[in-house]
Amino acid sequence: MRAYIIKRLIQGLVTVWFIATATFVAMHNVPGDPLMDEKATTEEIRANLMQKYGLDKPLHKQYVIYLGNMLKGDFGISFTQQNRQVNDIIREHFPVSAALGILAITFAALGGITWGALTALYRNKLPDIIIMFLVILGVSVPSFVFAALGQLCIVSFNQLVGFSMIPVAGWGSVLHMLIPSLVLGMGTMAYLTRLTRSSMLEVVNTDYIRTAKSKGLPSSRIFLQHQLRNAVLPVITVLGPAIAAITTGGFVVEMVLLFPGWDGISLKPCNNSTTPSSWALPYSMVLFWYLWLSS
Amino acid sequence: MIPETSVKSRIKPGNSSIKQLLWLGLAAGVFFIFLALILNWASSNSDSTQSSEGVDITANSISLALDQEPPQLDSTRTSDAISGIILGHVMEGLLRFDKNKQLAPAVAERWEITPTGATFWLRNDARWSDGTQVTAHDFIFAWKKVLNPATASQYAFFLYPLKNAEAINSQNLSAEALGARALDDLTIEIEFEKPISYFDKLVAFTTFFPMQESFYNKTQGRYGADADTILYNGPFIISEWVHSAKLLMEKNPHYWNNDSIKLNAINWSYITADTTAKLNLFKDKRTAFVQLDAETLESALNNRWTINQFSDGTIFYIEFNHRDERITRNYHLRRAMQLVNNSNELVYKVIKLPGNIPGVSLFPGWLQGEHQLFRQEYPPPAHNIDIENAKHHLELARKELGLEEFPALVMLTSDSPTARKQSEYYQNLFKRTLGLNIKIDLQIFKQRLAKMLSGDFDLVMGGWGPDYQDPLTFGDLFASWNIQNRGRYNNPALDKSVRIAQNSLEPPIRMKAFADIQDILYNDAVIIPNYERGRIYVLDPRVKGLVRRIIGADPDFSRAYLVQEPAGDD
Repeated sequence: MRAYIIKRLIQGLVTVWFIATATFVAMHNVPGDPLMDEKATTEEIRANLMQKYGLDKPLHKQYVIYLGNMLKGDFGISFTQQNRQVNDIIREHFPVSAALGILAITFAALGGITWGALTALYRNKLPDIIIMFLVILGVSVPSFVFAALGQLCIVSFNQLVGFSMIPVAGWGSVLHMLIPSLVLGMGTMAYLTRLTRSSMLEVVNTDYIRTAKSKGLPSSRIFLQHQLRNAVLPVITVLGPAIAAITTGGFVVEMVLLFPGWDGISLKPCNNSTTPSSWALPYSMVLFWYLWLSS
Repeated sequence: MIPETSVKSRIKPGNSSIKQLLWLGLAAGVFFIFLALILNWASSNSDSTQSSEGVDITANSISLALDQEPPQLDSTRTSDAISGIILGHVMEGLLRFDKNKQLAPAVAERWEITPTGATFWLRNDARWSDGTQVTAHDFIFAWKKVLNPATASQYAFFLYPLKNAEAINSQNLSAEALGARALDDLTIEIEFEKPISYFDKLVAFTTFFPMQESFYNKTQGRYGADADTILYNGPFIISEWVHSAKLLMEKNPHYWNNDSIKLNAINWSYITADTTAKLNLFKDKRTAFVQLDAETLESALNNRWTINQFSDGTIFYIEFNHRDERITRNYHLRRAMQLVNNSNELVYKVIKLPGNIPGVSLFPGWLQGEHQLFRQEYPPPAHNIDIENAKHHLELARKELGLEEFPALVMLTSDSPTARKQSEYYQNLFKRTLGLNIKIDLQIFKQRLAKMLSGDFDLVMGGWGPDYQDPLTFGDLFASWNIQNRGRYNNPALDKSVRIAQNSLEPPIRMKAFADIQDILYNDAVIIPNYERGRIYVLDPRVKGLVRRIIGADPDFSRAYLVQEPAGDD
């Protein structure tokens, strides 16, 4: 057992080191540099900036400093949001994404199981056909379309009732979280519906259901205690990776519905080739994924 | 093996299992709402009573959307427009621009500028938001901080007119040598590096704002990172700042000119660059103001809102590459392309956004001349489209360059929708009229800058927004030493005019120099002006007193006020 744990720990360290190195290499090979701007800076001002962000040092020294800081958990000062520690940024924005993610996954799981069970019960009947059509829609339409559509619907709805019942976008109360979590969970819910449906139908054919039937148990009890309970297992299995995917995958939804989450903020530096510290944000996301999956 | 039919018959939904499922669904819904409430309680750390209305007459406040999270609220280091907007509402320099874009006294009560220096006398009732007095020392501290190489201020060059400033910034002199000092708490004396005719206009700029040394030291390097790590001396203070979500401003009770401030609060309740989201928020009456673009304009028209226009002072043009190895170095080739240019067609038939003005000169129409507008005093050379003459010049170019046929010219451009339309228009125009092939090189921001810097283009879509209110902010762009001169244009005659404009204090001489620059740029076909950018926006009719300006905080709501009913003019 000890050998196994040590092996896993070493594997983990190597993976993290590899990711850190890969991001470092990648960021030094993207065109342009972080100090470039539409308005060119004079030589002396540029030199001052290079010195401040440690970009004047040779590459191998920058790499050592970068790894060292990362070991200490000190990601330095952000370049895009100057004066703020990258750690502060993560600490402030991660809970927002996490809250959104938890809500979305709950919505997806509860909805997925309910709809999935319903389609199995009404197999090949009208409710099944309607729900499965919606599921295909949910799986294939990207979340930014849902986000934009959702926003448009709320605007029209608010105009209809005459006052702002549900906020259009932004961050503040539970009502603000409602639409983003629904939109974010939509795709996963569609996927889980299909999964529940197929495993429900699989379970129906098993011997223990037949036995329960033949014992003369009431159909509600068979449904809840035998059929659903067993059918839900594969759904629970996929929830693990789905949580990580949803928590880190809210980028688009956060952008459209103006949510100050970790996802939106983490991916901004990638567009802008900023300094090593800013890359800590996308890096933290990779780290989160790794830790989540390996645990 | 169970036959399909038997399976079907056995999973026929019984009434009770449907009921069970319904209960399950209901329980799920309740659980979801419960969870939402818990998460809401857990993740919200603010209990502000901020109004959610775009215009709230009772609370006397407005709500707005900000384009992005302000990257830098440390006035000594900031260089972006968004931070400029915020700082313009919460800070104040020695002077400021009033609603008629004229210089007005701010922290300085009066001032005097001579060829060798300047003196500012500060009012004694100017206060920081903690009630302490704004003194001359606060300005000197801020300026020395800007010039300190360790600060690495991108806009340090704004202070270079001060004696020894550039040397201090390039680590050659100590900060003590700066040609600016506090004679007492209320008097600042400045010595110039060389005579400068527009210094008073510079002083209103963000980089010249004051900063209190004792407060700065207390923040331990986190100055400007949060609402409570800034000391304010402007009309408003930041009462709450949830990063990337909202930034709320309240009236500053310590502001010296409090009577002129009407609004109790300005809530930047949303932070987003998404124009559709911003439009939806305005439609939903959650914000009082929205800037429009090509996509959102139509929706605004359908809603019959009053659309306002404003020229933001930026000029866009095609810049040629004048490096030796490029064929665009040839005058006749450039001249040919210039002669077919039709800015009117570009603006009115291609870009088709109200507010834009066809470009005719590097110097935009809003610039002030000696007595009236610069372009009224010195109109740019007349431009007549002449395709025959253009073809003649093209033929001359072909012979001079010794070419059988022109190779495809590379036109570097950004990936913005307007730039795309613009470059496709010119690609088509040059092909149609001159038979020239243009290869559009569309690049993302940083890549485009890298290519501009290394000269990897024949033509590039360029543009320039002014830094200060003087024609020189455009006039020196094509000086041979200017790093902004991406095409490396080099003309001693133009350089000479730039030097005159930089060093002279006589308005007639300076304006004549700018007129010469304008003529050279046209006659030598250095650039092809495209358009002067306009902005279109809608404003809640109950909000009055919004100031749009070319230099400084824009939009400026600091002196805005609310009226009960929209004015009847609609």
